[in-house]
Amino acid sequence: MFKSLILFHRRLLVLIAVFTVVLVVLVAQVGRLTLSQGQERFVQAKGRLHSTSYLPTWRGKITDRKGRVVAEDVASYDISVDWDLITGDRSKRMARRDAKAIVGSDEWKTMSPEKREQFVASMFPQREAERQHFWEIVATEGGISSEELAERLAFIREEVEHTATVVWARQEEAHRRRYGEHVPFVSRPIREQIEPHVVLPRVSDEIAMQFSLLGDVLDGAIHVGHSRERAYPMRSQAVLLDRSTLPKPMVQFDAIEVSLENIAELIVGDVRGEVWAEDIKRKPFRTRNGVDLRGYRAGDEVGKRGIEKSMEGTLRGKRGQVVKHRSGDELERVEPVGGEDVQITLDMELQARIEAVLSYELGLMRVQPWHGNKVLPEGTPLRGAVVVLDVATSEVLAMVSTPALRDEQDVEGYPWLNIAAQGYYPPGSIIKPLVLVSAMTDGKLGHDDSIECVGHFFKNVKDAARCWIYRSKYNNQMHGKLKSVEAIARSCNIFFYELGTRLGFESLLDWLQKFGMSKPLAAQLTNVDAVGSEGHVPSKEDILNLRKRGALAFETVSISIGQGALTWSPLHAAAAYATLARGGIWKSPTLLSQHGHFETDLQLDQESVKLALAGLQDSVSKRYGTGSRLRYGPDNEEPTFNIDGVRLWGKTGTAEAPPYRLTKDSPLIKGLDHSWFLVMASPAGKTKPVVVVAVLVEHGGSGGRVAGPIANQVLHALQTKGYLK
Amino acid sequence: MSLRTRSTKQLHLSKTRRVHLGWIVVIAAILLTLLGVEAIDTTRPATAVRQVVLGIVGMGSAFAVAFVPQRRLRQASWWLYVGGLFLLLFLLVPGVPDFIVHPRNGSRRWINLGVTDFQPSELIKVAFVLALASHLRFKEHYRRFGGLLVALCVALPPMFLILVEPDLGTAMLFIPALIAMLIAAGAKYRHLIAIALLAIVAAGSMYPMLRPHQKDRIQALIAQVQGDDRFEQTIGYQGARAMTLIGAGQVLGVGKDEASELLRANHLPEEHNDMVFAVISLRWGLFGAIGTWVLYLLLGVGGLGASLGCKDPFPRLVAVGLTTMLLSQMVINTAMTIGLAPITGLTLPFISAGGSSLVVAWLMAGILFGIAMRRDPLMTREGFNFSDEGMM
Repeated sequence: MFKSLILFHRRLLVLIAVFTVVLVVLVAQVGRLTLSQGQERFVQAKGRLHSTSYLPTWRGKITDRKGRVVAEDVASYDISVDWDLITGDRSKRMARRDAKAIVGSDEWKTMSPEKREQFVASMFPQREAERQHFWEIVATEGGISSEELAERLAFIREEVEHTATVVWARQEEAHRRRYGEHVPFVSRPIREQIEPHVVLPRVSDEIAMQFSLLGDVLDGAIHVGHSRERAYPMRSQAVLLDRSTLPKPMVQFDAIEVSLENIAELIVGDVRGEVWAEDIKRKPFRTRNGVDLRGYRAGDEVGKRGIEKSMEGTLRGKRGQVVKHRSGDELERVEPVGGEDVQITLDMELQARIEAVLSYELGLMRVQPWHGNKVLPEGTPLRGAVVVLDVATSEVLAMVSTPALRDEQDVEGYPWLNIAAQGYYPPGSIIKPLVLVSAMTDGKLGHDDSIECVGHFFKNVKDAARCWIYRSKYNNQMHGKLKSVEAIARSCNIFFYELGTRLGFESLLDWLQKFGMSKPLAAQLTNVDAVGSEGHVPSKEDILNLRKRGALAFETVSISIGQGALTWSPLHAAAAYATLARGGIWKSPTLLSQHGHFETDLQLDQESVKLALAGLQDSVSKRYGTGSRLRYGPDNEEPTFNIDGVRLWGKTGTAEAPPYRLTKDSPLIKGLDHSWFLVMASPAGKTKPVVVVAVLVEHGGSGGRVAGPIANQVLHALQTKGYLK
Repeated sequence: MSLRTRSTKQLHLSKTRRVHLGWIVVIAAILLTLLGVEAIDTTRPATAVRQVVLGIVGMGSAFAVAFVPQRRLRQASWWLYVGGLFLLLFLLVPGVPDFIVHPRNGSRRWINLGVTDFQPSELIKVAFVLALASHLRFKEHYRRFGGLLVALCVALPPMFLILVEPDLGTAMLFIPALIAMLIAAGAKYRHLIAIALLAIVAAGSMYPMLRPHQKDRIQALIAQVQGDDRFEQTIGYQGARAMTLIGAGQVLGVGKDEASELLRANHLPEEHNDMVFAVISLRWGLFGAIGTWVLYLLLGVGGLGASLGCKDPFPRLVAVGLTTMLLSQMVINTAMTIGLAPITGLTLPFISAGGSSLVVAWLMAGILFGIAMRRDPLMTREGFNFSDEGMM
């Protein structure tokens, strides 16, 4: 039909057709935006009418078993000032403003630049004097010398200017890559040059008030900001220790004051002011569906180590939120919710006292001449730990590791560790009472049965699997026929080799695991449901290998006296003894009050428990008990425990230790043993233990000599704090 | 009056009509200008007042140019073209002080005239159409491939000079105008297609030479089309904000106060200028957007229709060229605002705030009105009536 039209007209129709097609595409796109996405985009555009700010929250308190505050958030104020007040540019700026105000803005415009500068210069000294006066006030109110303040300001300037140089260099490079050389790069002030800087951190309310009044005079150049800091009021204490109850060679009749700076820091932990990528990944503030008020964002406090870390979820608060319209009207407000408080089972004063006992100042944690340590020089600092459990509840009353955090002894290559719960050692002889009740409960030994000790266990092998007294230094003695109580008191190896062999390797391991060995006790201190394993027990494969190599019999006798491939922590040891003291009721130890327990009844033969406890009592009370005496030489001895009014049960352990280095690079030292002492106590009138104390000294040597006196001092501490009345 | 009684001079004089398609152009242009003033008033009342004044100036110059005889326009076309090129060159002369050639965002497009800034590229758009039309008038060589390249050579110098300013958007406008004029003039499709293919290849090979910010915009567009919101706070910011506001208008738009509030809160850059279409869509919704396009469609119909009333190839081509120039600018501008094209600094004719843009749009409307208004003189040879033979 278009044939009738001239070419030009047909061509016009083509152009109109093209244009129409283009228009259809455009209409389709706007249709898509307004119809199918309209609602969503409307909400999005509306959302930008509002601004949201967030209100700070606070962390919950941590209190000890007596309700004393261990950690809390303390409100304080920071005084900060504008950057140009620090650099002095402000004086120039204000002088210019003054000059302009005096001259009047119309006349100012007509003035020559030189004339203007003259005016400004005349106003400058007054403004500069004002600035100097302000710094004087800062120095006096802040209680610092003006030199110190000048140094502080210089430091801020240096840091900001350094940052600016770095940032500008980076920006300029990016600018050049983007625009090439022909567009000149103009550096803009970096954020630090706009934001105020803190010059007096954490001042009192009164000083903060004074400065906020001053802020009005200096035209808002001074800012008083809230800040919050985590305070640990019981972290440093001085403890007075009575030295009259120390072993004879150390006795002094004046008390020693031990200043402690970081009591329970490994257990309670700290907070860090910086949020890490992992925190944000775990619980981000900005999520796909908006914000999570409990989530992490830069500037939040995050628990670091210990309770602060493991109870982060409870302690952490929920920040508040204020949504404001652009006009300033408040549309929505969510008040912040503080974090929940956490009560821990530690007694902070007892903890302090025991930390003092383990301090290097007192000397029990250094090599002493009477330790009989043939390898380490006298005075060498030792590492060790103490755990005190309440028997009835399995609550941790105190848990101390030495060296403590920030003690200088461990800077060389050893990680700071809460070794009381996370250091794993072979148990040694402290395992013997557990083996006894296991064997008797399984019917492998009658209550009245006895076993003969001939010094060595395997008939024709006299140099292995020996009793500890079957050595040349003890003239190859032997115990002869022993019943269970005396076997424990004398810590006869042969007796327990025999029990272990009767039980068999697997059954023995089963029993030890029932007593807590390899259970994740450190994790369960704050989380009953924690799973995993801590410490070492031989695996099924290990057992198979031992059997193949024909070494199972020897390994069985080894582990029945706590040697071989077994390790546990002082916490494990204390938990096992507490179970024994409860007649076989297992309770996982805890650091949290009102915390659920994992409880099981091991269904022990109660008569065997009585026998074991009787053996433990004899061990520390009878002259022949391995834990009863400190022997310094012929006819020179004293009781290990010199505490009145209590009933004691105890067991020494001297466990073969792997080779040891004093520092990271020093040569290996062999032939040292770990010293254990497990002691349970009750007030004299009671028949069952109420507390368990586990003492471990790494590479200390004899359990009785090295760990014993420490256990004695811990009991004194418990008595002082009223636990044995 | 019989033919014999007319003087020779009268034979070459065109007469005017009272009722003609030019009125559609003017009415559409007035409505678009008013729409622009109202849209600008939503966000910047002071600029809206200025826009009214500039609109009146624009209409005045349109009225004036409508009565300039076509012969004069034709004669002036090459002078205007060459003069325009000189002004474009002047922008690029190193050492011209910044208060005369005022660089903005790194590009040198404006000459400071004291009262307002002047954009030579706006002028050269008109001059180019006039010059090309007078070049193509009564010629046939562009029906051969070689001759077509000569026509291309008219477009290349201003395009190149505008590209180096840099102003990619304005430079791009010359391509549809050139092609539309060649189509209207009857160039062969196969030649045009060959040139179009060449142009695509050339454009592709030019990509590495684009400025980084231009590449950014293309990258941002691709990302946005793919639903990738990574760039919404950086290089895709303007586009994302514009699309949000366009969508927010939904079907009927929001009230003036709400629109003003939303625009402020959403921080759309250049909302009164290059991005003014977003304001229209926000205030009057889908209907407003379609209405605006309908007005442009009317303008196009009027503009192309103006060429129907004359036989002389010069006004015919000028009408096609100017109409295409206006509509292409509108298409590119709205397409970039709604997220279909990379963002370039290009105004929406008649609507966007801005001196040169508004006045030059009205100048074009004035020329179109003048073309529609005139009857052909009796002695007029009809242009571009080639036979269909060998059209492909």
